[in-house]
Amino acid sequence: MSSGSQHRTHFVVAAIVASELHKAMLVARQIALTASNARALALRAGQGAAGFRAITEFIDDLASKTVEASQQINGRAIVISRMASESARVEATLDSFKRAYTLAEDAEFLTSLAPAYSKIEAEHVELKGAFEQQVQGLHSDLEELSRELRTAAVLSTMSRVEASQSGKQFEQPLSVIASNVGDAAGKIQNHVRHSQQLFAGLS
Amino acid sequence: MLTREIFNNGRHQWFMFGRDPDKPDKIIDTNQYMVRTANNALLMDPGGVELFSAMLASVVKQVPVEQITHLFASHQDPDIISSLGLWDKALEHAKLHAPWLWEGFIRHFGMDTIEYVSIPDGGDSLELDGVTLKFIPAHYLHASGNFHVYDPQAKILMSGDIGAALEPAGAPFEVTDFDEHIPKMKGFHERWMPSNRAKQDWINRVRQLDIDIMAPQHGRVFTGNNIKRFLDWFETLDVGTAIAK
Repeated sequence: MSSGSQHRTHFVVAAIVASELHKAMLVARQIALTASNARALALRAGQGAAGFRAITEFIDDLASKTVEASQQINGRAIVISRMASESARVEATLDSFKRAYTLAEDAEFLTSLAPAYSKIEAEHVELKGAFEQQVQGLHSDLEELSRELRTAAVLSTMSRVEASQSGKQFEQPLSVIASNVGDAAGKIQNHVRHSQQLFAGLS
Repeated sequence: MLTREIFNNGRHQWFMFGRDPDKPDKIIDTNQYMVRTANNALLMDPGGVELFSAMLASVVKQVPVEQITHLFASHQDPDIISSLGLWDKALEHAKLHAPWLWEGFIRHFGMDTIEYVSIPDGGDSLELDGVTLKFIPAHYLHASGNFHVYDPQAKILMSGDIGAALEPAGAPFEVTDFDEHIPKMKGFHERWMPSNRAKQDWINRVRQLDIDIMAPQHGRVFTGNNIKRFLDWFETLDVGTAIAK
């Protein structure tokens, strides 16, 4: 793969990752809504659902952390996509200059191109450095979010246990909420994993 | 890309660039022009992104790149100015003279260092080392904001798409047989030019200019009596033919 087409792939991939993270954020908002419903239900359930009520705070916390992290990663992916497009443009410019050098081998004023060429080369090196730094940052952000989401599975299991102790009337709806949290976290985890896979192939 | 010097009075020169043998087949052939004065150069309708390398190579055979201090875009079409983003990287302190109407559009081609100088509807002029270049209104021919460049000393009118002809690669630089040239221009002018009123306004304006060479952006240049013949022919031509009467 040429470095030009690699960068083209980079900005497309970064745009896809941004869209994945946007989807993850929408799911995380659903978790926040679920947490709020769970709290209301747990209050109505009274003493029997005291354990569940405590868990809703963790669910809430997980939801807001996920929304925040998704937004941050989404923003970073957009920056990466923009940088990769700019990098592709600078590389295309360098290629055009190289072609001009070849075509104008014997031109009287060929050396007058040197300052512009050096400037574009320097811009390219700088962009490449900044790009790699952002990509590394994105990797660790995704890893961090993935770790955070592992707690969702624990929360879901704990919720299910607590739901079973909340009495007949509330057991079923609280179990549904517990499942919803688990399902939503699973969906987000899929988006994150997909993003990680996309980037792993490029870095 | 071939280069032809079409004027030289010892103080300033006009160059025509075109007939690029390496041009991809499916893009229209274009003529680019450059005026060189003592310390400056104006590049007119510098062309599309596909031609940039060939143009840059041709230009540095005539002037150091830092001497290109001015660019001109007759209108916003890609074959006119889509190379702007690349010239922007090559030129340190250049100005682009172009219709005010198209600034927000032309900037889409990429422009960080080049300064946009808006040409008002009534036209404007540019002084380069004692050489006056006039931006002559040619609105709606074919773009709704459109200018040509007239050099009263060299008596050259760079006429953009007016006088353009669609021809196979390798066509000669100059019209020698006007009648034989008509079929190459007719369809282009009938379809691309939208307004008979705009056409007549331009003809009236241009008839007042003293012109030795009329230099279009596609095809061949007109010289001598062929300029008058072109104006007479164009005057009788019905344009805007895509709309049924």
